Amino acid sequence: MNYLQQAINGLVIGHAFALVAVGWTLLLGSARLVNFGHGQMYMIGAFVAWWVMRTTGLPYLLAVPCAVLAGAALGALMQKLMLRLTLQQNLVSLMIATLGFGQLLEGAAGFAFGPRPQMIASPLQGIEFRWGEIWFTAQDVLLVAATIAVFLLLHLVLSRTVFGSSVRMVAEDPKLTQLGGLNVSRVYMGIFAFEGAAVAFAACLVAPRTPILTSMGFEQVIMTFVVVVLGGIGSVRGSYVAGLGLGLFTAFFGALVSPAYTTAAVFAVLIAVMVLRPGELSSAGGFAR
Amino acid sequence: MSAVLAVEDLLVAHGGLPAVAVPSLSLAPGTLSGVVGANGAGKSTLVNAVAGWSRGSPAVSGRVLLEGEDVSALPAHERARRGITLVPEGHGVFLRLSVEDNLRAVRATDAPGRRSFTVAEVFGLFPRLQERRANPAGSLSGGERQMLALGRALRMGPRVLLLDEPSIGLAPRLVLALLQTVRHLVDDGLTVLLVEQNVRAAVEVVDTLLLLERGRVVASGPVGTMRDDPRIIDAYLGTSHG
Repeated sequence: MNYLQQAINGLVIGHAFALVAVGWTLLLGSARLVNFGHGQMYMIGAFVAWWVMRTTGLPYLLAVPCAVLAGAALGALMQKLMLRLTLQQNLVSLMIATLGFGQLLEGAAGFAFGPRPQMIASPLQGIEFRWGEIWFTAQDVLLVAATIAVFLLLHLVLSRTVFGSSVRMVAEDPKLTQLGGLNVSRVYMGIFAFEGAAVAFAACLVAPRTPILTSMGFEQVIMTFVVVVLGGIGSVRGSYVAGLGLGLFTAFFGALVSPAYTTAAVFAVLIAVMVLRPGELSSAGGFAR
Repeated sequence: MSAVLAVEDLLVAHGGLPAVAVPSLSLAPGTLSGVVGANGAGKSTLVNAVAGWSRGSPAVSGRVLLEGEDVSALPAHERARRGITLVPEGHGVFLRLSVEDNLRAVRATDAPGRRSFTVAEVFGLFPRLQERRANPAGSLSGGERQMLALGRALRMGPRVLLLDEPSIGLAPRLVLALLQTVRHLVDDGLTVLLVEQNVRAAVEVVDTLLLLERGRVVASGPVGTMRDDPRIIDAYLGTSHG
């Protein structure tokens, strides 16, 4: 086995996991919302990029901001639909609502984009770097660099800006936040829009690696859920580390054992962590760090 | 003198059961009014309803007028922006944010006729907070948290400040110092409605007193008169007071 190549694969997959998870992490940390529609939002982001490129002829790098804008709009729509439940912190109803929202997105996407697999043609996917037996693409480099940039930017916004303080206040006590003259609904709007934009951005960077299907959301949500939980619910830094760790685990487990059992093995790790180190999964004090 | 804040026919109910019924209440500018009463009398419910805020879902009716403008239909954050500033019971601070972030994150105003304290002015009022400006509010003592909560409120340039039980959990020395600070702010022109269980401390600083029992006002008036009211003496001050 080429260990160095597996390490590179793991780093790339890990950054993909982390980037896909970052919006959900913020949503979970600040609104305590378990968004089971996250995977379908990822799928919509990928298909919007593909559709824009196909219908307008725009190049890949210009289709990305279009998909990000569509994702932000989808997040804003989600906030409008779920604001009341979020303010009431009716978490069970929220989970059911996000599950239903995801299914609606999947159905609508199937109707609009059809059942056939499609490819997002990124020119960066064809640019390869080779040194001996190891190789990676310019798309991989972009993915890793963009993920690091998004996480750093999010960390700076949360820790250094007034809006970041607002998000942290809402995360700690949305009711008390109102007394500071802040419109909590607007803060939630920003958070939901970020969730939608971030997952669409992730889709644009990750999806060119494989064919896209309107049914791919569920698989995506499962792995992202593991990243978000393993990272320490709501912890931005934790989800980056968890994504990276899970990526390396996936790459080496796939190479050493079998890719067929990777998802099962990942959940075995999750259960082991939850049983052995339950305190590590708490968001208390970890949010925005 | 026209009232800064007036309440008319305020009714608050929890789960269909009436909790507070106040036909009228008005606060003159630059005065410190105290609300006293036993546990469960409805003191916090009253000030929360004035601020349009609650951790539950009470049914509220009646009118709240801020300098003559009806703000009853406005949500809590809009009332806060207009100058009804509530410091809720149990320290209104964010424990995971630093002291400085707590102060900077509130929405200060530059509206005419209102004075927003700068962060430096809050530190001038409470030097202890400046020493701990980088610490999370969760690491502060009860007294320091109450100073921070008051500082946050002053940053917003309140037209009327509603203080709900600021003395809870504080040592008697700190209670006196805190209430004296509030008194100084009132002497500088601030209007304050103070909910306080420590009646002995409250009567030393307030201008008027309002006694609530089971959600209803049973006595009110200037503190000089109220401290001789047998209901106040028997229940809160004891016969040796005065």
